[in-house]
Amino acid sequence: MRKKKRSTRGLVQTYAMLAPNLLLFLATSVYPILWALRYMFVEYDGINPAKFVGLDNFVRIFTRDDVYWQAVRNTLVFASGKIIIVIPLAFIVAILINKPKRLYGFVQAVIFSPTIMSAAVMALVFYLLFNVYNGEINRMLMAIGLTKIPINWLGFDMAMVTVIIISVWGSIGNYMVYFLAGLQQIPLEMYESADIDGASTRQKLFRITLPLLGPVLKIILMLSIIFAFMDMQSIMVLTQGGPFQATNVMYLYVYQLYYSSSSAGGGSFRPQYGYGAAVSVVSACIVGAVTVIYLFLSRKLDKLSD
Amino acid sequence: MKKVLTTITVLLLLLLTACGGGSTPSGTDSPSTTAAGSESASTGSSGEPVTVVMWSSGRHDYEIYAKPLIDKWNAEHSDIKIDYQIYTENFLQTVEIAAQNNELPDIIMALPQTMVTMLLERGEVASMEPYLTDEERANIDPSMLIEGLNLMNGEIFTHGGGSFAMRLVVNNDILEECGLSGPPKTVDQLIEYAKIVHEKKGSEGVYGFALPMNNPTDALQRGFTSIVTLDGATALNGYDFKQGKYDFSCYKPIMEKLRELWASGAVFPGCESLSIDPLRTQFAAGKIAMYTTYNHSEWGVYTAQFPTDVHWSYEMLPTMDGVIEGSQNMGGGVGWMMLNASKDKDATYKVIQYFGALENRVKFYELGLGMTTDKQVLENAAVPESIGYTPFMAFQPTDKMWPLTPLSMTLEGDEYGQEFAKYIYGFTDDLDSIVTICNDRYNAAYDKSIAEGRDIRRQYPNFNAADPAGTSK
Repeated sequence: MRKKKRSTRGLVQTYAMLAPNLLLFLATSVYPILWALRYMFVEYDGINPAKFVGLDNFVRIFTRDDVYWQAVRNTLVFASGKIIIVIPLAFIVAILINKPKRLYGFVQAVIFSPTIMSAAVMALVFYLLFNVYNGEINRMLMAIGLTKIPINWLGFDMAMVTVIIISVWGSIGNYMVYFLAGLQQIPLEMYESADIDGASTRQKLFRITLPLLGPVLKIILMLSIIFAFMDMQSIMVLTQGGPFQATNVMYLYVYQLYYSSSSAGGGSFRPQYGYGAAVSVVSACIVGAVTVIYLFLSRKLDKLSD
Repeated sequence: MKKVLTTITVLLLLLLTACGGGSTPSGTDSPSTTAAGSESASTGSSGEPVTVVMWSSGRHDYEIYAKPLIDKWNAEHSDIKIDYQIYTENFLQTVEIAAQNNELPDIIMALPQTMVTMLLERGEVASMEPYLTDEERANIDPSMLIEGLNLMNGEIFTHGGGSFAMRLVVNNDILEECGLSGPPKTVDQLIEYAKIVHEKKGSEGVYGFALPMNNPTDALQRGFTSIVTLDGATALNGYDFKQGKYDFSCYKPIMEKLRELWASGAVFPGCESLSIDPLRTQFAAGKIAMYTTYNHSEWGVYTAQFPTDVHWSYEMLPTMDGVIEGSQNMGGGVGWMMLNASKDKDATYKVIQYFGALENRVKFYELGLGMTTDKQVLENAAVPESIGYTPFMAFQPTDKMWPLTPLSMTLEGDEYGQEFAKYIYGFTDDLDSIVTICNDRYNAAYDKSIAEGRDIRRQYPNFNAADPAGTSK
């Protein structure tokens, strides 16, 4: 009897502790998704009553909406560029500063600091640095003779490169911390025995560090793919997706459909909640598909540590 | 087990991504809910003062005009208090969300027009007819009353005199140094001036012209679409009132000139991503000779926001041949709107009357904080220092009220500014195709909004750009 009471009390405690998270998850994740699923079949501008349009929103996505597909292409370029640069860079930085000394702790904090800064504020600062007419970047490049004329960093040809640079700067600290967590899981004894065996630094990196980081790397890459596909804040502030949709990405486009006043590229006089819901669902499917492909291809990473 | 884990992971990812990217304001699914607004005027229990909530998008006038006015009211009145809130760049979004959540204030600034149209369609705007005094009625200029702008079904819902038109802003120091006398009168002259400035002062980093092409439609609407109507075109922002449909073909000549200007190298570098405030900072620094924008804002900008020693002035926009055959649209007749969210409209209207009192309107004008078409104000106010400095800040006979263009449309694709920018920048030579694309896109959206009963065909067969109010009845 007492046992039963105890187990009931345990269950109540468990669910009481789970409840806040669960409720928040239901309210901030499940409800918006159900909302999107419901509204992807309607035309709704927030003013007039929602009108059921069947599959018309999807027909528009797949047959008439060139801006969206441009945004999808841009997202792939942006995400690939960001991941290719940020992951190796974060790994190298983590390897270099993974030492239990106070100075390295300070360096870690400095590198991590962009992660906790507002992306919107930093995008404004970067605008001052990158603008073509009096930006510090051009001033420096011209001073050291790397270019004679100012580079139009936010122009059609360079805007994507610029937003990738800013995004890498903003996220390197985050991935560095993930790598540090992974590195600190590797038993020091393994390096000590490798040292006794006379292994070189390169051998230790490729024979111990990388294989044992395999499962962590898999998670880091998965997270980096998801975050890169969903990243839009700095782009929104810096270029609003322009010029000519050159930096418009999937979720920025969704945002533009939801907020008519921000239609730098969405080109709408009215919010398009129904269409925006359909676009966000298709975008989620694209991200899901990319992640599935990645998980399939990355199966070997699990085996590295075996 | 792995399959199960993978499936769960993928499902969670889909949930995360759908949620993260498509985040929406809560409550957007119920446009017709009738819950009481949480912020609108309420009398509360007896003895408690009514609080009238006002929302404004204007920040330039708060410290020197609005705040002292509100402080004075709140000190003198124990029964009605004013809660004045300023929203800036996010004003329209805030109002959209508030409207959907039934959290609108009692009073709101009737600008931008997109927001006014949205609130009218939702039935959020209250008529002022029952509250207007005879004196107020007498001061309203009938030619300024436009359906949708300040009238709803013939009833007045706002009656301020705030207005604006477009002007060329000129750095007279630069023109003088380059031996150029007077502002350009034709578009060709403007291009010539820009080229001369860049030839003579390019080495100092000075450019002849600039456009805030961060938002191309906005950039074109800050002057170049007005040049077209000054030349006599009957289309405003592409909407031809004579034909009753969108026809962007009238923009072809001005786009050809803009392309020529762009290709000349005399345009400030980085204009593709330039917005208006960074442009102004460079003008204030003496790096830009000319640009086009609204006539009401630059005085405040160059005296308070970006103070400058540059001798600048507003000038009339040039036209294609130097002759003005039409007029330019001035947004006008806007002021405060009373919303149905207000639970105490008598108290709310008293606040509107306080802001609309002649002495306060005169003060606002004399401080140079905005332009007005208000006859009473113009008769009673001293000439503001701003107009003394740059006389073309004042309205001219060619600044006229045009009817409203359709605003209830849902456009599929880019706005016309984005399309024309491709030609201006030289990415395509096919201007005719751009015109066709814009016509098809805008007319399809307009036809749809008419078919769904959200708009009507706004066609005036005798419409004349020289007399837009008289020929659009």
